[in-house]
Amino acid sequence: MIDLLANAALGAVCLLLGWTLQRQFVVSSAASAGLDHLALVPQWKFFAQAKIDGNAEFFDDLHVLARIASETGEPNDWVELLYYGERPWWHTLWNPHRYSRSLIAEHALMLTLTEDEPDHAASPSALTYLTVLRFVLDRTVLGPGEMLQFAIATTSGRVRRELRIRFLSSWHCP
Amino acid sequence: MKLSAAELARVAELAERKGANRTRTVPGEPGCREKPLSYAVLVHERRKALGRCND
Repeated sequence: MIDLLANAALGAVCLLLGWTLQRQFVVSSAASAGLDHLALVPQWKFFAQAKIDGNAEFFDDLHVLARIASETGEPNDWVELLYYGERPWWHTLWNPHRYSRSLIAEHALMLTLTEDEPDHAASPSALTYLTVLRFVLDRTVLGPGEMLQFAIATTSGRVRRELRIRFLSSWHCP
Repeated sequence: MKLSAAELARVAELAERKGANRTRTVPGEPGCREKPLSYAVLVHERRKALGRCND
């Protein structure tokens, strides 16, 4: 009897360990979250939170873009200045730009949220706006009389990406 | 993931459309192009506004 109980306990521990391992690499679905109602199985996400719905197509990626217009007002092509791509493995140990990138991304996200509510839209002298503008100005070289505009776009999904412009700034000079 | 060339072209198209509906442009003389807002002036404005709050 004791042997049977010990084997059952060992089996339960093995099952829990296997489930724990599986949970670290697979996006959890609503069904598996329901099975683990008491959240007994740990989930260590070092780089991103898991979406509740677990559908990989519901992930949004943020992009900060800028374009320069000449003195005559003719705009050039858009250039991407900030995006989140696949990260190399050594970023687990050494990623010095992590916090500065996250800061800009947070401000950019805030701008998109305020833009969705016209009554609370950020004015160009708002801290969020100025932070993103400073970031863009630092990464572009403007000639005399030239001006720049930045935009924040999101892409939804990983396979069939749906592109949306969430924020479009005014034209600026240094 | 970085945007592809086709997606960047789409950004240009969407930006033109959004720009046409944008209300927060700087008003200028009819027929004149939009006057750029200076970063330095914006920062100065913000500092002045913060100064007023602290008074």
